[in-house]
Amino acid sequence: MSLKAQIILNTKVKILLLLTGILLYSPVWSQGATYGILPSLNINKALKKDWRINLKIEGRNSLHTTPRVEGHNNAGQGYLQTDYAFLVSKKVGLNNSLSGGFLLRYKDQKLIHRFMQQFTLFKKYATTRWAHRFAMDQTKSLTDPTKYRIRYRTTLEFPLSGTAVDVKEWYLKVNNEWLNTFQTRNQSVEWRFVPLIGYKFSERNKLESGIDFRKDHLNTPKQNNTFWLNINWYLIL
Amino acid sequence: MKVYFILPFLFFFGLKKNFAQQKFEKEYRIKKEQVPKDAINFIHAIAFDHKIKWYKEERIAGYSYEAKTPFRGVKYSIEFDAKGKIEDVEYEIFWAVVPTVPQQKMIDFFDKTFQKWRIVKTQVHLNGPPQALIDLINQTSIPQQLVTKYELVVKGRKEQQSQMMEYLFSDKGTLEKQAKIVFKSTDHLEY
Repeated sequence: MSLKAQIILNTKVKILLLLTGILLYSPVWSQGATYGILPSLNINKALKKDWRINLKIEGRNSLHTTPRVEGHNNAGQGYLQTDYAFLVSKKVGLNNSLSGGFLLRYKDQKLIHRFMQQFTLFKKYATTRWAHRFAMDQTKSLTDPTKYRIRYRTTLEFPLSGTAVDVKEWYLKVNNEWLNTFQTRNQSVEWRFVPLIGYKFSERNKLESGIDFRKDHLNTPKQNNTFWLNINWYLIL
Repeated sequence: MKVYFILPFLFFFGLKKNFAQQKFEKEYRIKKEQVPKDAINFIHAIAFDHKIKWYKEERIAGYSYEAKTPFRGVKYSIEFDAKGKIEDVEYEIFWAVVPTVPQQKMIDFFDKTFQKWRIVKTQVHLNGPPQALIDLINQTSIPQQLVTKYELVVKGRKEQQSQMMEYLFSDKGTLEKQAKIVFKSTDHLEY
């Protein structure tokens, strides 16, 4: 079956497109939104004794911002920032890993530092893989008080052909993440929903794209919506 | 400022290793029309009441076909060779229902191999004359001429390392094959 036919015929893809459409056109997001591109390059290298290193470079470009609503913190337009993240991971069981590292964010000609810790669990089902990521991070900058975040992300991977994602096959990936942010005495909640379609060129090379929808300040009237076109490239060296 | 983002990308485009050829082995869904006639005829001889999902498995050495369907509470996986000739019938069972003699031999083997272990999955493999396999699935008789084997997925720990293994045992509990299960990459689920 050709790759094109696989995509057109698959019910999972139709559901993904429907979900994305609902996300983009729902009147719930009328409070003001930013639309942009979020490309990333993710490089992994396995080391001895179940250790791994990960380098992620992610850029953020805003293409369109709806008129600023008073009190809302819209992201702005044009090039916004670049992140360089470096993580060291250790497999602590067959299906789980512990990671820690730091991120450097270059934004408005300033450097922001973030320290990250995460624990990830994986589970394989008959035709699906399910991952749970529990994470914490601390963001420091010269101008703002330290920001602390507690995060939980669940990820489902569905092959679009067969019972597992093999080489030269398409897959669906859906992320759902909740973030709780604390900064001085303020606390805010953010929700992210990211349906993606991916292609596995080889065991060491995958490319994904989809809509990364984020809704922040859920517990306040200052809600912001952002829609990023995600393009993620995963390489294993 | 865009240059800060673009430069590292340009650097990594130059890496040669990224596009190295990988071993070609995959399984994918196919339509009934793409399945050899003999395999279809075998399936039609059984009173299946659910949709049959057909898969083609490509390996370096060739390819095979597989039909998967639930029937009377059992999930069957029926394998055919490239010409549609039946290879074997597989279905999952509880470890507890494996007969005592082979089960004890397998337990002894795992006790010797691992410091700590547990059974993740137990499957029966049956092969023999096509009519005997059809009768068994239809539950019209219990044929004697079938060869039974047990495929086990075991999670075991030895020398401070956990691993997932797949074993094939004969009906007497003798080890015939073993392979380490290699997990697919999880980088895109983790980061």
